[in-house]
Amino acid sequence: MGELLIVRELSVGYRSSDGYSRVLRRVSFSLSEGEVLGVVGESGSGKTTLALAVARLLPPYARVEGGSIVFNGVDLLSLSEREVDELRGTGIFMVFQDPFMSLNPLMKVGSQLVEAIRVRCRRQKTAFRREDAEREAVEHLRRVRITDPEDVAKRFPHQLSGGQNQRVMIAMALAERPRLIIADEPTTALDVTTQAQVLSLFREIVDQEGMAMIFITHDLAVASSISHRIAVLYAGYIEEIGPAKSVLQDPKHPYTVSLIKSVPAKSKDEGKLEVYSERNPKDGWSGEFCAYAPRCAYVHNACVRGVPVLIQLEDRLVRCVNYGERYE
Amino acid sequence: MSINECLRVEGVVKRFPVGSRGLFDRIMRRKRKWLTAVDDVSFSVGRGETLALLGESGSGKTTLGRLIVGLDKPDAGRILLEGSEVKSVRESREQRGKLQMVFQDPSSSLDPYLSVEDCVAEPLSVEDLSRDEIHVRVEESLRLVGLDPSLSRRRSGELSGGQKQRVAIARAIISEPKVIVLDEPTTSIDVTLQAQILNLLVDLQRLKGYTYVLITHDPSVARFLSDRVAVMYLGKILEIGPTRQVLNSPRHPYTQALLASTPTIGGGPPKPVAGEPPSLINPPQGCRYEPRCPYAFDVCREKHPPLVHLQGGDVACYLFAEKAETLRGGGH
Repeated sequence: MGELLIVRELSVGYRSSDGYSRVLRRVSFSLSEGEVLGVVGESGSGKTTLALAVARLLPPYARVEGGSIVFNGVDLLSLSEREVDELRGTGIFMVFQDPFMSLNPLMKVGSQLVEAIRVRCRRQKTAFRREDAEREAVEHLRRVRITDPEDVAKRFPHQLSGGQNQRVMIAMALAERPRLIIADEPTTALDVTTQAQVLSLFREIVDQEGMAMIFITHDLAVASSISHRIAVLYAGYIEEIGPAKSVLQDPKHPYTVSLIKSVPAKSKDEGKLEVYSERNPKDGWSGEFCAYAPRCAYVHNACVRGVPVLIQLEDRLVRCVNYGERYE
Repeated sequence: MSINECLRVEGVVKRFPVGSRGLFDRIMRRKRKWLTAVDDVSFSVGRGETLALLGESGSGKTTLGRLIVGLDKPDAGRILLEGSEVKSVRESREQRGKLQMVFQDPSSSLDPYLSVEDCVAEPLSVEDLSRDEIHVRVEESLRLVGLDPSLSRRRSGELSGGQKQRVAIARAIISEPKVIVLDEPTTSIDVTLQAQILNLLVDLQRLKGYTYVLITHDPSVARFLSDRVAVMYLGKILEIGPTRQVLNSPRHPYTQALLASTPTIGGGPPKPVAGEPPSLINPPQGCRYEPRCPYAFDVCREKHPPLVHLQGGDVACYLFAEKAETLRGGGH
């Protein structure tokens, strides 16, 4: 299968009043059509920056230090703003935690879907007929299991619940037919039962339409339920990346191990939960050695000799000297 | 009241008015719309026990928590702390310290410009204590939650998320409370810090014998911290029983659906529940869960089922009521 997205050695930093901080460090991965990559990490790990960088939505104070993002054979970083706008309408679709950010509050849901269909028709150079588009819009709403889609099409986003709006966003994706969906914590604000509905819809459209998806979340269990592959991000580094099953069932990087173990799976009567250092990830790290070393339970001399490289280990890549002392 | 009972909630109801009622509505004698956030809820919690209120948003769990600590007054029913009725915080000074609440987001529950000492000492303002006495109590409280007392001069806004939640806990325990309501105490912090806060809460409870009411949407937090679980939906308790029983062999169709919807590490895609959560303003006439329930039959549409006592817990579902059994046997 051809690779739809190839990110190579991507480094991004932010300028602020306190100076400059690097947020992504030589991040590389690729994504095929019909594949879901789950990106997990704690707050500050750089996962949202990664999403914004691929969608070319980085804020003005961000600086891309190096690397390339090749989407469908085109280097996104070399495109002009106008070319990027075109791409956003047709190739890459972004879903945020809060769907209100993406939906137009002054436009009825049905009209927004019709607009998305118009954009698609222009791209595919097919005829656009309003009546057909309106019918298609209702079909998309029905497909994302909105009850009473004809009625919902006539409503404004503020008249719908968060879960309904997030499903409207999925309907928008169905209308636009992008090749890549980037979803940044799309279910974090939702209730468990609503989250389950949205997750199964995402998986369904990826499977049926062959879209690729980058799914960003802090919740390992959510990532586990939707991803084919998982990338674990820490302090801007990919620490481990591989098939979801093997990363979660047999984690190799100490950080992945601690992430998995920190989800409580027992009762207080069965003993205490394993605890990891409360240190701020940035304390005690100069940038010249393994970023996780200051918090790592297995830290030793080799860990502070340099930044370890990603080492191929069976079906995955791991950035840890325990699997070979090679440095960048 | 049994000897070990600490907190008792009896038939508590809380309603809130919805929207505003304009002049036109008044001339037309239109009735005000009401939302019933907590609808006839009863349970008791033993001394040193943890009861989890597990539910999604709109289930009434936070409203119930606020009623327990006296931040709101119930419209019907009563809440008893060690046999005496809980009054609202404005009415009773001496009761105030006995009931404490830890809120979900410490960044908004702590004043970022106050020093840690002032934040933690706040519940002591109803007691007549000298500055030195307060200082000693604050230091002791900070030590109990695992913070260095030297932090007491820092502003709470300067602390990390995990430290802030420890400060919030230090504030809750400084007045030596009987009951602490923990409202999603680990929801706003990163997973790797969650374990520390959960361990701390267990340690404090073992040391001081606090009674906890844990409000959470997360079954894994309830599994770790609680002895019993009450599953709430649209203001009603649908199932209540020992944590192991409720979470390992759930009986109510909603509890089953909730657990099946919760993603697990290594688990596949969660199984979604059909339908939307119904409106609180116009709740279903019959069982609150009936519109989404795959097992619903005629009687479910008529009246919300009462909690029936079964071995190892109570369930509000006609599938478990004798009456329903005979009804179903009669041709349904």
